Amino acid sequence: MLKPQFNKLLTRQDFYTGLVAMSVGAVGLLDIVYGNWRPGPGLGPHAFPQLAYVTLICAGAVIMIEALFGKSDEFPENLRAIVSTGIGLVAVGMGMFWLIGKLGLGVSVVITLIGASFLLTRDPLKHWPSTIVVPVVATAVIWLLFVKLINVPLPRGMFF
Amino acid sequence: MLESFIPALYLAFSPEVIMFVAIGVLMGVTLGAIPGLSGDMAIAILLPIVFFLEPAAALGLLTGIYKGGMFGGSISAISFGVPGTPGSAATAIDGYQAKLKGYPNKALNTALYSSVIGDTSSDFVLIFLALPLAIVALTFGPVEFFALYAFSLLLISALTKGKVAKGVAMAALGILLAMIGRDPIGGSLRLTFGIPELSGGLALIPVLVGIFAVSELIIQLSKAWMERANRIMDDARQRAESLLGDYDASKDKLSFAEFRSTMKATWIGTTMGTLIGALPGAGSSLAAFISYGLAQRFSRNRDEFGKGSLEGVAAAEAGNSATSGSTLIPLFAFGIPGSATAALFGAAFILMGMTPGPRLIYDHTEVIYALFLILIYANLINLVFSHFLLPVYSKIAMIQSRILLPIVCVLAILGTFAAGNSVIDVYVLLFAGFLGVVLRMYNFPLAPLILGFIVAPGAERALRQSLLIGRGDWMHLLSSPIAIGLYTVAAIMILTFTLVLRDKK
Repeated sequence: MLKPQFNKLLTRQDFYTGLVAMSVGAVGLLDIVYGNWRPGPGLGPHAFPQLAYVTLICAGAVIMIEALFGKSDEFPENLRAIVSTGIGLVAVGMGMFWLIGKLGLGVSVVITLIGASFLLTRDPLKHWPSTIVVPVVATAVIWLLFVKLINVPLPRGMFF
Repeated sequence: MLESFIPALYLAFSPEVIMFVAIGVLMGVTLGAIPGLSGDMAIAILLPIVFFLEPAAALGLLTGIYKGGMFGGSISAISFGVPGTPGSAATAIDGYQAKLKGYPNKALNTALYSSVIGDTSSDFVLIFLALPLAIVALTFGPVEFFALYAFSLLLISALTKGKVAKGVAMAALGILLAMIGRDPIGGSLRLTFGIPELSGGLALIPVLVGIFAVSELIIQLSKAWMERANRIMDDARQRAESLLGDYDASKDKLSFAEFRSTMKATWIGTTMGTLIGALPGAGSSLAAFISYGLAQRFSRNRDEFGKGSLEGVAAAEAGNSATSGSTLIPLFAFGIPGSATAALFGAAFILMGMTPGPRLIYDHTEVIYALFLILIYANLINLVFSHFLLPVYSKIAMIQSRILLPIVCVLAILGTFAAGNSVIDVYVLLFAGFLGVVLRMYNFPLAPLILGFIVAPGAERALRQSLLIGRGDWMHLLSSPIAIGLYTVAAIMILTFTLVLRDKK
């Protein structure tokens, strides 16, 4: 009776999300027990994180038990595409920030925006108003807003 | 208090503040109308910029965006059947059917009027309830405050999407993120993983903007990359254009009799939205669907619901918009944000050096009174602009989000750097965005995480102070009748809502 139930459990997404939640909580508790935590007044600095870790373990256990009884969310669709976009955005964001220090705000932002528009548009040259004109105008507005209007101390580059 | 009212009037009605409210309303409607973008996202992106504005102007801008975004979501819901915001999903049921039957203008105007009525009523409830509740909260000690924090965390975890365990896990994760840095009482370092830059803790702005806005941007960007969102809008646009063939604009004007016939539904939506909005975590989407269901039950024309009923549009839109004022009540009275929008407003207050909580109204009376006035007249500005610009707004909803997404991303990164002048904040923003994506993909609610992150320092202080006073006895946490009352109410509400939501499924 329990064996097919358990086999099904392994195919349910929330079995794994519950497991991850419990693992994070368990690692945190082990860190509190064996890690380099200093004592402090009252309950000490570890008390509240400890409470959070215990809560995380309990919540993870409930998620897993619910998955055992069939209550589980579906596996996410397009996970690979979305995670790749996330990694891409993190890389582009860090790259743009590095570029601002080398080339300046205007040039870096316009390169980033035109690059992103070309990537997101099918036949980008045909749609040049939205892939070239809009990024240039947007960069001008961003430059005016950050540099001239609110005078933000951004890293300085070769150009403006 | 009354002597502060005249300076507040001057503040609220200064040309600069009116201009920022108007800009905010236009921005909010525009972004709310475009599926994939929302008023909340705009508030998150602009948070770092409010740091550089006068408090009244900054709050005016954010209020304008909020009000505009609330109504903006219904434009694409009615015009294309694609809700611009989650709160307008219920509006799409009858709104889009009304459009298919050839009276989109009546549906849009009904949505506008019911939205403004719901929103304004909810604002008055906020104004008249926040002050008395704040007076009560001033008598609270650490035991009561810890109970209040626990009450909010439990409620928001239980009510968000109805997934209690996932909500509780997120609240715990939010607390852990807030623990990074120095212990506020002893000063020792916690959870910094040997990175000295984390000793100051994670700043509020990059975490908020990353979790709410950047994660949504990443998902929308990937959709744009797959051209899925574009195809949906292309299909919707083609359907919209083909339907306009025999459209007679002269027959599509909302008469006073029709407006009057929707009033019962509007008031049902207003009442439910205001009540549900005040509960931490319940949200505008739940309010809109419950209002819609109740209006149908009490309507004489219940068979018309789902087939383009103007009453259905009015109830859903009033329910959605009526959460806007009441969702700020816990923030003003107790310093606890009960929704994503309230968390963003709370962050704005903190950025401007104003601590949300019971002392907020006393310490910054003029600014808060000015905000109350702004909340009311922003609805009028929304009404006037939207009344005359509805045809333009419907066209704005056709703008493809792929054009704006990269610009919004750049604004998020630069704005975050500007607020703290720190490269670490940019890294935290991108990391929080990525974390938000993973959590969204696995259906973890984000609101409890943010609430956990915001209330954790206060909750930790309240808990440790309570236990110091009680000499380490945990039973001291139950020494106050108010605290016991809060724990009991939380348990009853969680049980009730869990049963109600289970029945609805």
